Amino acid sequence: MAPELATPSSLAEALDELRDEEALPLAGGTALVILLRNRLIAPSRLVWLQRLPDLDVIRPTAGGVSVGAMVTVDRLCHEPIVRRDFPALASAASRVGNLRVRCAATVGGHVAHADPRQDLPPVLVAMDAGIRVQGLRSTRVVPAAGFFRGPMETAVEAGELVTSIELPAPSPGGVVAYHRFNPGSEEDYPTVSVAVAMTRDPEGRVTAVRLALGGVADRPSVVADAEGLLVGRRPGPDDVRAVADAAAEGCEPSSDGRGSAPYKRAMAAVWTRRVLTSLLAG
Amino acid sequence: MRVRLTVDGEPAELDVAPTDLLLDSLRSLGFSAIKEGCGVGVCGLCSVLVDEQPVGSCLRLTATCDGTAVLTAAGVARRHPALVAAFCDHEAFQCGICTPGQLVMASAVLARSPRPTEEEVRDLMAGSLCRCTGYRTIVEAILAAGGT
Amino acid sequence: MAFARSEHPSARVVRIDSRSAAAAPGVVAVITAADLPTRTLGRAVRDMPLLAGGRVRFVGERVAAVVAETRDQAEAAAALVNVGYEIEPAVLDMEQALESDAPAVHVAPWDYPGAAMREADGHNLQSLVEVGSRDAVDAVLDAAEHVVDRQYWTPSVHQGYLEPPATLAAPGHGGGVELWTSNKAPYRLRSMLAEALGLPLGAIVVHPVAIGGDFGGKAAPMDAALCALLALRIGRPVRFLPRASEDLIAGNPRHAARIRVRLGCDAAGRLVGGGVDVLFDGGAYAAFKPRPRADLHGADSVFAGYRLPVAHVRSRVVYTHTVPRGHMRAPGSPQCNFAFESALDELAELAGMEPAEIRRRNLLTSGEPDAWGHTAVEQRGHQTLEAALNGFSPLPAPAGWRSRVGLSFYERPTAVGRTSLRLSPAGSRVRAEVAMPEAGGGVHTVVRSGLARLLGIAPDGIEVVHVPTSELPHDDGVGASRVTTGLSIALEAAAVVFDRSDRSQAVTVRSDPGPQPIVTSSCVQVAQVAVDETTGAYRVLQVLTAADVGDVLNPAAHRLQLEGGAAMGYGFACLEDLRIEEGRVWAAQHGEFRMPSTRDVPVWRTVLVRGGRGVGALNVKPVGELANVGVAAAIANALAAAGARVRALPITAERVLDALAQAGP
Repeated sequence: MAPELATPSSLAEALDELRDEEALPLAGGTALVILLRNRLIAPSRLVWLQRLPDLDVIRPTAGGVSVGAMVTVDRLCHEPIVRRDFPALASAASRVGNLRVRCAATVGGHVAHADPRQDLPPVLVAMDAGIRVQGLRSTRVVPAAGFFRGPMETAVEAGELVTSIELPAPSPGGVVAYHRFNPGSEEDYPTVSVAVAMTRDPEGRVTAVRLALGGVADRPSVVADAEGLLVGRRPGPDDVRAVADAAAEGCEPSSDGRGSAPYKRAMAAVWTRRVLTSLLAG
Repeated sequence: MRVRLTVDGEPAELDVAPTDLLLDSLRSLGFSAIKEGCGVGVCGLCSVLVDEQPVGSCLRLTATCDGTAVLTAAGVARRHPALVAAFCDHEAFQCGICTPGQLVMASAVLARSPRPTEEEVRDLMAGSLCRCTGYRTIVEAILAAGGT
Repeated sequence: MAFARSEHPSARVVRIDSRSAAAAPGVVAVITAADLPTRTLGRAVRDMPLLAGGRVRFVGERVAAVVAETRDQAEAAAALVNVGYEIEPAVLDMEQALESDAPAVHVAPWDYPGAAMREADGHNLQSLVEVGSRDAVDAVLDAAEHVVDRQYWTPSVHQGYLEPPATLAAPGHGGGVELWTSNKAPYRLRSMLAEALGLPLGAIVVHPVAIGGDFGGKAAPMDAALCALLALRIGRPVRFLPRASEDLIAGNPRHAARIRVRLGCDAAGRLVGGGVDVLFDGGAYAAFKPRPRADLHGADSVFAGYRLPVAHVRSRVVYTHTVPRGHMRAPGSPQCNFAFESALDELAELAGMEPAEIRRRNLLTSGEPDAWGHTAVEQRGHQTLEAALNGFSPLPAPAGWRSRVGLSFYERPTAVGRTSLRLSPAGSRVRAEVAMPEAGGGVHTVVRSGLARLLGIAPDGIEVVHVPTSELPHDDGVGASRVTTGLSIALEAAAVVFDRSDRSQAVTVRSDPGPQPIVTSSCVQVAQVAVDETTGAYRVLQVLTAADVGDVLNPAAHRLQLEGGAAMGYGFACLEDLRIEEGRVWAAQHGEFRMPSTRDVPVWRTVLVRGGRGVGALNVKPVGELANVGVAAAIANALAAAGARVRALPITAERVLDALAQAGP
């Protein structure tokens, strides 16, 4: 049976529709329509979110900036406050898909899709962004690291929706960098991507750091040792190398058209080293 | 369900199933300037403008287009004769199958960046594949139309 | 129409239950092999059934055809066809296929009409062609000062035409059938269908359509035959529009190849002998290859343009349980040229010689015979080489990346095709009715430009119309670089006859040029790469193509053929791979099968080496299959100059890194 299309006009209505486990939310459709056409999903109902008010708002909050789930990836690239305060996120967003995809895909849909090769998740994890998930009777903000659970698997449960991404205000002395390594075609997913958020004091000592890799595991891969190896120091090449080795060791890449597992592991180390070195020099 | 929209400035109305694609709906209405290519949003053959936004019609459900204004390559061509002239002058096609999509995406690029650099053009047109030309003339045509 | 397709590379079909499919909404018919005449089809070797009968031989093979009112309904119903398989051992590797104990893809392939092989020729062979003497080559290499003996591998890639190969067939008048189909050889299609359907030629009309890219992949008639047959049987028009992903897994892509090159030279770098042994993976059916020996021309012409006193080529095409392969832009040449031109550079390195120099010492001059003793009208390899080297100037490389240059040479002999056309007065203009479809190569522009010159009128005084097959006698179809040359001869003949009646009467000309003096086209390409040695990542900064030309009818279109060809060559060298593993195509959608984008392509530089002697009064040389061939070797040779000799395509960063590691510090 072909699914029905529901067009709720309030969040409560949408969440009510989604209590049916056979219903799926529809935002930009760039991922969902492919799954539908290939018969990989067979929902009874598509709950179209376009008419929900306020989900496409970007607004400052006490702790930073809130980006509504229905904000398009394209808008994220260009929104002045995002470019100013979160340039790495804007830059990562500009690499997603192609222009048509970016104009349709939403940030909520993007994170809910949770393909381990995507660009935004590692950046959100490194930034320690929060992802707001709402149900009919609940609202919680899930730290990005805990949100992405596996390929196409997130913390969103039946009857829930991602409603916003909460970006923490940048700290003084804080900087975020993202690099995607895609040695074949520019249009491909990255072979490996590296996202780093680092804060240094005026003397150049690292006071906080988070390092997340993309494309080397079934979800963004946090390099847990980075903090222990870098915080409290003015890192030199040996410290950076130690972090790079830890990054390589901690990833679980699979071999595919973009490279073998050993190659991806080696590249995780190389690009961790390069991104950290560049960040520390800059 | 009944969907009402305008296509290339003319009102259109049709009954669709929720999972009908805008690509198929438009072609069923006779708008043959939209082509089916890869089916996964990569090649750009199916590009249209929906309320001025570039859209891959192979990934857009017609049911979500009620009340919108769609422009196909034919509509874009009427709106931007200079762009069409630039494509002709610069020989920016061979077999022509990708050309309608190239025109639509080029107009979207020029709408957001009226005097783009070559790098910008190549960046923003990267989702418009061509197997025939090697892209030089397409890029040159868009730069010429943008006056750069 | 939609298909139920095999999920297995090799299996017996024990049961096909189409009851649920037949009962699905909108379904008009469900057809299996049992409903069809038991004949096999093919362009030369007729080994392929319209629908799989008792067994399936590749993943994606058509097992049942469903006709319904809409495509969605047909596809939904096709998913309901229930096929029972008994899985059988599959042979998925070319080398293994040759072993006498490998599973046989066909029980008795020598029995098929048009079979190129006999039983005694070997196991799982579609084709075996051998030229020259291996013993003679062995002897001369034994005594040679420097010898290389290397193997190279190239993958299977798709032609990548962006328009899927669509077909619409409708019952015609008096029991005939009319077709509109994305096929570049309509008269050959008509002949095939006549045989397949048991109809006279005149009962089949193939109508003109514009073709959205071909590149060799749209001569295969199989789905058109089924559409036509079903249209006749059902009494209504039947349309088949394959999904791009369907066509990626079950079209007729390029043959993968393993090529062994042995090459020897004396102390002065002059080649003394060379042998090429190539194994092509032909997949489950030979049906998509048009040559009578089911071989690929690029193999036996691998030495073209070079002086090679003692030579040998053995080319085998094997059956495996994978998608049947077909023709793609210069069939066999991208594979063999990559191997030969890489090996030549490897030999140059051994001999302590620059790559340009080893070519200077071995390219033919006019009047000299080639490796097989044939003498062409002229040889312009030297001029083309010098033009390429003189025309090249390096681009700046990214900081910290090592920049190097590599080159390659390719020579293509010219074929001249048969065609027909009609000229008639049309008011103040001349109307030219042609038998050839336009697939993007500029066929109709050639007609307009060529006729304009011959008749001495402005091009816009000529109206070019592609007419249905009922209107003209014959055409060989677009391809094999025979279009410009074949047309130019036909246009000459037509212009002469047209003039005799003062251009007041319609004239129809059927052109069958017969054997021609051998005209060749030389092409030298120079690639500049920049390598990041820590990751193996590299960029191709530019590809310069120097092409030997006669008179160019339309400079802009001609240049596009060179640049578009080079883009296809770049894709083959660096990005493309259908990834056929475990018997299936893993790059089953665009995006996974990566073709070059605006951001990927290098800068194109073009140098025309004018003054060549072409065909006919228009003095033309072909250009369609020239610039795509040598790009891979030029890039591989540039990377080798940077320390990374890669012998397998596509050249990935990982392969570069591995090669750098092997080369040592």
